[in-house]
Amino acid sequence: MARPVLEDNSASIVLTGTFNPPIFQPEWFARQNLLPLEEVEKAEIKVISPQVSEFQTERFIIQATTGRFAALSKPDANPAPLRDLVAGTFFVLEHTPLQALGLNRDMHFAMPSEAAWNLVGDTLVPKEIWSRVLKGRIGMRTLWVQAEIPDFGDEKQGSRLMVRVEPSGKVKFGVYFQTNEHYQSPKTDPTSNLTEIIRNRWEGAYSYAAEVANQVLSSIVD
Amino acid sequence: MPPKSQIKFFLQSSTKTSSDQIHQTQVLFEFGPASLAYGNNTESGQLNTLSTAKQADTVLASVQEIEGEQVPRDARVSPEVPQLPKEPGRTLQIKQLWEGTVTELRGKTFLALLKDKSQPDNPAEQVEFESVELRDDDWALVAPGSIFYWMIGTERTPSGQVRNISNVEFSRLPLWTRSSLKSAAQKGSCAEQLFHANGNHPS
Repeated sequence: MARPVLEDNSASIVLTGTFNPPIFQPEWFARQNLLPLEEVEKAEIKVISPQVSEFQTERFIIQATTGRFAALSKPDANPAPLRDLVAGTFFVLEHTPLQALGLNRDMHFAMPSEAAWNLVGDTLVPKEIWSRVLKGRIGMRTLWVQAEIPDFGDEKQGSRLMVRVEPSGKVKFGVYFQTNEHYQSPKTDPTSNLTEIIRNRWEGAYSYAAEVANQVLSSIVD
Repeated sequence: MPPKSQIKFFLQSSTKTSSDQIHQTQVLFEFGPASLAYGNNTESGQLNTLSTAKQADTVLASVQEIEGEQVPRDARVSPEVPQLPKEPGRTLQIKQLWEGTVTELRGKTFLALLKDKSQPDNPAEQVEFESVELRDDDWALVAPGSIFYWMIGTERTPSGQVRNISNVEFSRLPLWTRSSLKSAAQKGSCAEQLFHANGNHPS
């Protein structure tokens, strides 16, 4: 059988904590040498205010509110520059009180056929039990699966991997996978610890997300 | 295994650091009646449609109900959902990705040692790059030890044209902050005192 094809793919790093949104503007990133001047000059600023700041460049979207910082990379881009940007930002802003970190990847796979697409839902959420009580067409809309982060299995600290599977809203007969590696900040030196996780784990989280999705889909359609 | 109540708690709080508020996918499923069937072996023609007048009436009724309610004045409005959508029809496929370390600067070229990130088992290679392959801003970052990423891939434009792409991006990860320099200086000073105390310093 033909293989699922990764049609759309993006990544993001999200931090929660206490932020000062007006700091996060393109010129600041250029001044800190975190973004090239050429990229900053062409940045599109949506809003910069005490409550929220948002702009986008050729490669990234940066959004900051007083409680949340999010950086998103362009679809299909090399994931490493996103890591450098976020780790670099909070390396410079080393006294920012951070609470939690999310390393995220979003993938839309095109399934080889409608039958294969339906098979994903039927396998992940068997309809037999549901059809005894529910009426009409029964379909899987969202599935959340929780697990430990590889080599970081410490639920006591609130870290966990969440995998979400849905029908894709972007790709016809597509399956959407979202992975979220969530890390709670440790009590001691939270900012440098979370920055360290971004540096050390980002590439692993990114490739593990693809491995999870590929293995799940392969085991269904093969 | 954690108790189910705990799992529920995790599920509710899990979106805090996820990309949910960034991506539009979630929004696609929040509006309108539940019409998208998945994993459901029935007629595909019924997918994602608002086909009957009855369904339309239901939606209209809910809208009217909402209109009748008092609008809260003190609500905090969330910022607009950011999106960085792919240009319609444009796709980029990374064929190979390397991480390079600059080893030698030679005028307008530089030598680098490349690690294959796409196939990590491949041995490291030494390659010479020219300054024209870099952004103007990135040339200032070229120095022995600096890290960069080299990607080659194919881009398909909306008109179907396929282009080979080669892109070099230098890492802008800062190495030192004021406090890390201060901390290193303190450690150095402690070490110096230790050597002096032991009489091991050169006279």
